[in-house]
Amino acid sequence: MKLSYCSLLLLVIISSPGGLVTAQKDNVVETPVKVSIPSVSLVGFAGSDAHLTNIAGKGAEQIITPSIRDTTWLNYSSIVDEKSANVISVNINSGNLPAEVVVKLNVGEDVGAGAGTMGKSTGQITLSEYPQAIITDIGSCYTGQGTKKGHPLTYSWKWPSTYDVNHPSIDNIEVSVIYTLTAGK
Amino acid sequence: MNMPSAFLFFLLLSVMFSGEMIAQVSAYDQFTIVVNDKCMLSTNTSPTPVSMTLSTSVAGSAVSPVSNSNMYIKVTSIVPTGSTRKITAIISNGTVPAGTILNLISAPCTSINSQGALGSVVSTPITLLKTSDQTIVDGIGSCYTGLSTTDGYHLTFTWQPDQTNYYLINATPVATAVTVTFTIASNN
Repeated sequence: MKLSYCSLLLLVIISSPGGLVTAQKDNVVETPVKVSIPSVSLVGFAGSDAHLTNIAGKGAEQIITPSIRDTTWLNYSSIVDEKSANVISVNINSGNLPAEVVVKLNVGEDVGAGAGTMGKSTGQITLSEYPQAIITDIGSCYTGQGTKKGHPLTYSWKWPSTYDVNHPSIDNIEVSVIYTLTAGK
Repeated sequence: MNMPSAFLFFLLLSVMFSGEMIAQVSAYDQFTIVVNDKCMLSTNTSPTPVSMTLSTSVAGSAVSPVSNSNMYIKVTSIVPTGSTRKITAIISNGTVPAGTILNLISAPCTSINSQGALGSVVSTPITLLKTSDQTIVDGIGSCYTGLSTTDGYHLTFTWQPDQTNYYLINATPVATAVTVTFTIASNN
């Protein structure tokens, strides 16, 4: 008999209007939003000199000759995690640079056309086949794209006194220079 | 049948036929029709997350703003006379990554399956906050938006870098989860 009392009571509860009250809030809805920021390290050039090639996923190559006078602009985009900074390094990749000829590279500071934590220039270096850091402590930032954005690059050639710098053969010297943006620390 | 069982049987009968008893009205009774105040909200994408990625493929350029317009909010609303409702949005869980802004805007309600006082949308995007509900649709009266996937208030999320705080952006190896809560509530 106890069982029938219980089942009858249950029946009464179900039958009565408003007997079942749901706690669900009909006037509120939640939506998950997932957002991702992958690392970015892109470096490129801008300038009037035609011998510029951007190498996807690696960096940028510039073919320099003694006749280059214009400033080349180094543009980059960088997104790092909180423990890292990026570094741009440069090295001579190939070419026919005579051993006694020295090419110096002057790297200016960022001109402020972008935003974020820009890198710091190390100033002037002598180009070699070994990669040397020219811009360090690059955080999450972008320089802007084009000339007069990013860091100005200027080359200066140091000739031995025995060279005739006005001789046409001088312009046969071509050097491939590679710039790479890599995780620094 | 003993006495308690007979009583319970009678009780059960009275519950089962209670509807009919109410229907037996005499000619002098007064009818009262009640339309319940009603307010319901749903979305088409829940629980599928809205996913967005900030990136760039051009050296020198900032990461590009990215938008997602997959979501519609559906509403059924019956209001008391003179009353209106609004839909608000807030970040109820998680944090938008530093150096970035998550904006939201609603298009006016789609017209094909909707009817009634659908209100008006806030015409400039709101920047979603953790601290306060912000209105995206206001002046909603008695209405319905329709039920199909592309019925309702069409939402667009836009995630973008905050230029002045760009330096705060961090690459995230795993996606950051943020929960946005929508509420439809009375203005009064």
